[in-house]
Formats: sequence, structure tokens, C-alpha cells
Amino acid sequence: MNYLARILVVLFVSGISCQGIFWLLDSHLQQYNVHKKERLDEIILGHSSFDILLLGSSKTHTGINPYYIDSITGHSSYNLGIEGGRVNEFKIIWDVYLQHHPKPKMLVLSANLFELDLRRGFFNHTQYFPYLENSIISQGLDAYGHRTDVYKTLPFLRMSDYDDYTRNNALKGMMHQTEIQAGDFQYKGFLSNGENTIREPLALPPKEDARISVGSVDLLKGIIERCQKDSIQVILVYLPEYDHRLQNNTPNAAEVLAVLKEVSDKYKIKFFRHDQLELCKRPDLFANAGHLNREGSVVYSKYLATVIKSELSK
Amino acid sequence: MLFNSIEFLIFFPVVTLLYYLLPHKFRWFHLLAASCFFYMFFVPVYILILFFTIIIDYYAGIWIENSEGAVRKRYLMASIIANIGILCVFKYYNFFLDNMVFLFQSLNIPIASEHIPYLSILLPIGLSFHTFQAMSYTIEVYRGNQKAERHFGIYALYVMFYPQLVAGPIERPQNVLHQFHEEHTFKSSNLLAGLRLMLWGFFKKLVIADRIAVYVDAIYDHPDQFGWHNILLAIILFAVQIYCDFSGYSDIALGSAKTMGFDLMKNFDRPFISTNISDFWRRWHISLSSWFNDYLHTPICIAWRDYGQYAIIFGLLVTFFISGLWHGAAWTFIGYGVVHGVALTFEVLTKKTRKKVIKKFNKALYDRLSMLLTFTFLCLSWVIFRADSMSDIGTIYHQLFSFNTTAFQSLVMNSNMVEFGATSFAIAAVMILFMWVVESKVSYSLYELNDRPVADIILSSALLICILSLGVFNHNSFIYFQF
Repeated sequence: MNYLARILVVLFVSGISCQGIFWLLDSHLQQYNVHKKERLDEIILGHSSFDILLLGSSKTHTGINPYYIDSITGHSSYNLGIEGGRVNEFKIIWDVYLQHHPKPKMLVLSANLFELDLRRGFFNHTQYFPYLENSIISQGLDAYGHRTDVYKTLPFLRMSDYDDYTRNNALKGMMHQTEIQAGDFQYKGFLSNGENTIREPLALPPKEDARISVGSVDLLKGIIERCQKDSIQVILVYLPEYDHRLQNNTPNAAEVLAVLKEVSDKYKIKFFRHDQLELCKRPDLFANAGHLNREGSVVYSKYLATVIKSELSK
Repeated sequence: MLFNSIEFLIFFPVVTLLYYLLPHKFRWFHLLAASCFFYMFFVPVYILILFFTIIIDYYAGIWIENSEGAVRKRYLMASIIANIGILCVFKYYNFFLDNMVFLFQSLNIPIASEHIPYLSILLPIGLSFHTFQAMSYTIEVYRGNQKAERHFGIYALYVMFYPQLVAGPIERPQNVLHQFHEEHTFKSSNLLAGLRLMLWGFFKKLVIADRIAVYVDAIYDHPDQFGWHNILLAIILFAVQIYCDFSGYSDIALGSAKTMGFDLMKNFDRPFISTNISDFWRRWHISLSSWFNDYLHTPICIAWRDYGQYAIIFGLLVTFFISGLWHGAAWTFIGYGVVHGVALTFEVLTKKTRKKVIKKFNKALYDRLSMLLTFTFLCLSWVIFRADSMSDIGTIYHQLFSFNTTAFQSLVMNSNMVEFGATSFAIAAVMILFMWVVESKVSYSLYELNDRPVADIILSSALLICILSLGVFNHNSFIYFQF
């Protein structure tokens, strides 16, 4: 066989095989990401009307149950929390949400220690791959080096952006597992966080400063400014953490908190420090230092609902 | 520019295509311009440093050839001093100051740190490789093994050729210079062989080395926080990582040169089947170890030949001390070199005894035990190479040999410290096995597959599929770029 023809055969065989592998992995990844898919379908493609939006990282995602917010405030809420989310991802989610949905009355915006650190881009970028047609999503991914134009043309190249965590989830999908663990449930974007509780001694990563990346504060301000422009009430909330362990493990925690306070002062919005609540001393309410467990989310969601109700009535 | 970047994916085919489209007389300029562009992707201004040494060595070569007697040697020394001088300034100056400060402090001599004239510059990438390749030229001209190159552009290309510019192989002028003068017509066999070798390099780098790096880096960053079994796994995996990373780079370099018809020297030859450390250095980073052998160890042995075995030992210790220093300006690298020098000294001293032992043993069993022992030594010595500091070396050995178990018990884990779960481990294990089998069955260059179309299509397709579906595309730099 001619050498050049052989190169073409290799390219053809590889291309076809990769496309087949991609279809297999992608379809099972969708099956595994049943919760992510449902909520991203709502956030990116949906048109439903909600009065209260809860925007933040996994602490929001697994810590605030809209069921209690709805029942106590009498308003409809939705949880927009994103696993491993940072303020750059919050901004994209917020802009995408406002593309098709009616404006809400209030945004509860998470303001925690590590959300201004933009070094790693998106924590789980592959969850957005089914929505590359949305310009905000594709531009957001492009900004972090993901080649969405190439991925639209040659879908199998999306695999080059998978990590082993994603591949593992696709394998779990093949085994008919989903991201919703036995005993857990999802509700309006919320995912319950199991029944694990904290056991001492608590393992923490090595002490490290929380980075305030260039531009991150501007992104936070951008979210607030858009809300104020659209007459959407905003509150900033530092969500519960167990016994200030994360702050104690972060040498520059006070500096980050001062920056967040400065932003809230500038825009005259309230900044609630829920790390100082009594519930933060109860190890039975936390799955780890930064995340409430299923029971903890019930206790905290009820408390937050009273705060939201009070703020809405002002 | 990194080989594992989108930019290179565009750069490589454009440069190769243009190379064949241009008439022969313009090709040197095209390759030189492309190589400069490739280098300037890192820190553009550093190319001036390379050109400074290029000018010196170009003229030094001609003057050496045109002169006789002691003058020749003076020109050679001037060239070597200029090259080493630049390397010392950019690579060793701050290291030297650090050690002077430490010395003064140890002697209780007060020294104000703000008055120490540190250089706040990054080491120009690949400077050590460039310097050694340049020095090999003037030394070979001096020895009369190579004619001085009269064409400045061709000489510049000899030390700037982009495939081997930043991490070798460290070429010799006899092997490469004449190739730049020859007209290479397009041969699809070269293209096929080159692309296959590049695929093999990318596979080793992206599928194995960069996957393993996640685990190794996490353990080496915080060795005190892991148990002995994590440390042991990290030590073994680093051996595989550094091989796949560096030999992967070399394969991509050889392959990309081959697509244009250039043959570079092979740099690795299955080092993990070495039965002793001498054997290892004949198989690992061959272009560097042969450089040291040709230009340092052998001359020392010849100069001190009256001292017999002592000259060999002295030569080994000096050579490996400098080899360690060549790798980096840190005591860890020097320690790595010294440990290997001592091991080779041991081999020299026990050569006769070992020959007697071999006669009493089953040869196959002896070889396998030797391979295992050599691999163990290599893994343990690479701890010194990889650790961030001397204190980390102590921590790692302490954790390992005290069988220390800490909070992290799981061998593979997905935690906030290490994201290397069972899937990563399984993929890495299968791919390492695949690499081992292929390298055992097919000769190093993989060129022979040109004559075996079915095997070639299967292997090349498998490599491409593995790279695209299992590759780790986070643009990790190559380990040897730091040197």
C-alpha cells in the first residue's frame, strides 16, 4: 500500500473509532449526570419563572434546599449552585439564566473564601459540552482555552478535554449508576449531600492562601451591577463552615473577607456571615469542613428562608 | 513552543510543507527562521543569548581550523569559556550566591540580604543543551574530526534546529551538519516513519507521563502527609514518568526531523532493562552520557592513565558531579550525580568479583535480579533528582523506610490532595504495559513498521485513538525543559 494512502487509512480508522468511542462515553456520561443535565437544561434552555435564585458553589448546591425556601417565604426558588464553581462560572450561569427566564425578585449570592480564585478555570467544564450552541457558554469555555468551535465541527475531539474523573463517570453510567447516590434526592437544582458527619481529627489540605485572581472582584461586581440595573435585590452570604476550620486553614482569610465586605459596602447590599451561626459548631450537620450534610441543609435552609423572607419584605 | 500545544499542531505541518515546497537554497533560511520562531514562543529576548554564542562559536571554529599549535588551543579555550561563562551567569550565579550567603551565615559573618546582587531572570530554556551542542562543534573542529562550517546560517541552524533545540538530543556536528547541506527530496516513507515516531512520543507524554504526574506531583509536594506505600508508588511512577516524558520528547524530536529527511541520534534504548548502572547510562539520555564520555571522562582517563583504575574512578566522580550540576543549579541535582558516580565506582571496583559470581549463578536469573536491583537503585536515586529540597529527600526516605502510615491510607485516591482514582490508575497501568510490549517487540525507532502495513495501521491507529480518547491535554511542560 502507498505510504500516503496508509496515513489516510490511519486517520480514517482513528477518526471513525474515536467518534464511536465518543458517542459511547458521551451517552453514558449523560446518563450518569442525570442531575446536572436536568438543572442545566432548566438554566440554559428553560423558561420557568422563579422569584429567588440561589447562586454559588457546591456549598450552595448541596446546602440550600429550595423546598424550605419556597415553603417559608411563599416564593418560588431555584438552586443555581455549581460544583467547584468560582465567580467566573457564577457570572456565566447568571447571564445564561437571564437569557430566557423572567427576572427574579432576589439573588442570594454566595461569597466564600475560594470563589475569587480563577486559576483552574471551570471545575467541571464537560457538563457544558451539550450546550455549546449557546454563545455565552461557548465564549465562556473559549476564554479558558477550550476549543468549542473545533468541538462543534469534530465532536469526538471533546474527549481530549475529558479528565479521568469524567471518564470514570462515563464508566459508572455504563454500569447504570447516576450521580444521585442511594438515599439522596434532587429538588429544583438542589442535590442532597448524604448522611456523613464530621469525625475528628478532621483531615484538611495543607495551609494555603486563598487567591484573589485578577478580574475576579470585577466579575463579582458585574453580577451585582446587572442585578441592580434590572432591579433584582441581591444579598451576599458567607455560607456555614464547620468551626471556622477552612478560615483557620487559610492564612489570608481575613483579607478575602475584607474584600467581600468592601464590595457589599460599595453596592450597599447586605453581607451575611453565616459561618458565625450556632449550627456551625455541630459536627453532626456537616459532611466535611465546608459542606453541610443532608440534615445540615434542612436546618440551614430553614434559617436562610427566614432571612430571605425578612429581606424581601423590606 | 511546546510540542504538546495547539500552536505546534499548526506550526509543524506548515513548516514541513514549506520545507519541501521551497527550493533547496532557501531551506536553511526557512528552517532557521522557523526555529527562531519556535524558540521565541518562550521568552523572545533570550534568543539574543543564543545568537551571541553562535557568533562566537562560528568564528572560533574557523579560527581554530585556520591556525596551528598553541593558538588553536587558545581559540578553543576562548570559545569554551564564553559558552560556560554564559551558562554560569544564567544558571549558576544565583546558586553560587545562595551558597556564599549560607557559608557566611554558618561562619556567623553578618550579611544583609538586600545587598546581595541576585539576578532576577529566568533561565533561558534549553540553554544547557544548546551550550553542550555548541561546545561539541568547536571541540570536534579542534580535534580535526569536523571541518569548520563556513556558512553562518547553516552553523546557526546546527545549534538552533527546532526539533532538538530545547531538550536535545545533543547532536554532534559529524552527524548533523552535513545533512543541512544535502538536498532532501520528499519521501513518503520518511513522512510515515516520522509521523509514527511522533505519535509514539505523544502517546508516552500525553497518555502516560502527564497522567502519572498528577499522582507524583501531589506526593512530592507534601511527602510528610502520605504513608510509605503512597511514597513507594510515587517513586516507582516517577521512574516511568520521567522516562515517558523525556523519551517522549526525544521521539517527537526525532520524528519531526525525520519527516523532513533528517536523522538525529537516538537518545534512549529501553533503559529499564539495564542490568547495571553502566548499562543504564548507555541506554538513558545517550546523547548526554556519550557527550560526557567523549569530552570529559575519556580525556581525564587518558591524561591520568598512569594511575590506572584510580584515573577511571576519578574521571567517573568528576564527570557525574558535573553531570549532576548540568541538570540544575541545586544540591539535589549534584547529589543525584554524585550518587550515580559512586555507584559506577562501586561497579568498577567490583567488576572482577561480579564476574566470578556470574559464573556460579544461572545467567538468566542473575540478569533478572540485576535488572531489579538496578531499577530499585534508579528509583531511589531519582528521589534525589525529583525532590524539591534536601529536607524533602530526608522526609521521603524516612517515610519510606520507617513504613510510616499517616492519614492517607488509600494507595490511589480522589481527594482534595490527589485526584488519581482507580480509573487513572487502571488506565496508566494498561498503557504502561502496552508501551512495554511495543518497545519489546518493535525496534526503538519503529522504522521497520514501514514494511509491515497491517501492523503499522493497527499500531498507529491504536496510538492515535489512545491519545485522543485518553490523553491528558493540560499542556504540561516537559521535565527536561528546565535544564
